[in-house]
Amino acid sequence: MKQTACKDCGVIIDIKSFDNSKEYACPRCHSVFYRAGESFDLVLVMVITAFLFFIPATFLPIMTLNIMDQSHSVTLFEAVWFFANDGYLIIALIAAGSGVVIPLTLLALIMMMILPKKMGYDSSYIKKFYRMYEHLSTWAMAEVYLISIFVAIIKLGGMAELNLDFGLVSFAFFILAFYISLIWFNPNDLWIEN
Amino acid sequence: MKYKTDKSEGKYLCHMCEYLHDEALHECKRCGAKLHQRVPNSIALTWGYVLAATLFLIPANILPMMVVTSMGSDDASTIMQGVIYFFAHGDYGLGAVIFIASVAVPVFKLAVVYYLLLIVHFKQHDKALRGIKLFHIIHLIGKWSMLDIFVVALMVSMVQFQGLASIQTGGAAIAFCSAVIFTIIATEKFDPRLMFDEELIKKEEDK
Repeated sequence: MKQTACKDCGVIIDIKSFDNSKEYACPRCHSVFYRAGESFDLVLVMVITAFLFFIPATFLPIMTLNIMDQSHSVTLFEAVWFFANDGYLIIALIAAGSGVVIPLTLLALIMMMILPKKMGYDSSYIKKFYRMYEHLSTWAMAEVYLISIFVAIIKLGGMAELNLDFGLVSFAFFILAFYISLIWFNPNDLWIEN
Repeated sequence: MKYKTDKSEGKYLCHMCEYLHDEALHECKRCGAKLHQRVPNSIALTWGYVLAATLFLIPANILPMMVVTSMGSDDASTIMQGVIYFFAHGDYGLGAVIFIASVAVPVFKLAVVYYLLLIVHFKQHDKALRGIKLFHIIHLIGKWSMLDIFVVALMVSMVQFQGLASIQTGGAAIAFCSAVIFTIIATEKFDPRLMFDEELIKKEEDK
């Protein structure tokens, strides 16, 4: 017997037998308050996959632009760097932060929460990491960033000749793996297992 | 009385890990987050952020989003002009994406937050269930308004050809960015339970 309350309308809910592979919704407002996640092993695999895809995405150019015999290729970090030099430091920081830095931080936090749990020792930092994770997850906009790359490509396609490079492909897969690990990882399972 | 809530039972729910406490502790037993029964100053903070976001939307739509310099001539375009450009060139899909992400979604989000605030203010408890549905929707679509900012950010950094062509950001970029961020903070600060809470008080008064 487990008692909880709905986060959205405050109703007290009694759960007779809790099964963490099921989805639970509030009887009054129908908001889902427990969503089943995948096992931590699967999440860990997906997090590592995301990191592996991120390595080529950092140093390979995402695209090459040709205008009148001048060619110009950009990597992910150059894209941000140019923008920062342009005097719009705040927008550069927001774009880089929500598109790349925060997703990476979230992945690292997931690893740092799961690994001590797997190895069996109780890390006092788990609570801290968990709170950071919950705060940051609002600001991760990696999927928006990916779509915006495609919109930018189509927009630029009208202006100049454009070649897509492998960096973009690996970045797209990084974001896909990031998104899947976020869906699979349910931080509430951290508490339920003990 | 049909439903028992955390407030009527004097219990405290952790906002982060959803652990239900029987007494008012300073921090959550399980995850260590600060424990409040309701988000402190929820309504005042939401009003503040949503008004700031509304004000920022005005320059965001008037000022140019980006300035394209090509062969010595400047071409500034606002958000709406960018959308019209795509429709005029027959790119209806892309035009629709940009229109939804940077015009429809921000306006819809602001309208919903005002609606939720008015539900709480005028104690329209019969509308609370509809309110919670809209609240979930704006949580899902909120971040997509950043799309245009990212597009401009990418284009500025990619098109840097000395003398031939370059792209600069206009004033709208920073205004639009602030509007989107303030809207996201406003929805984070809004506590949907306030829409349901007063129901209890009203019913008890009726008795």
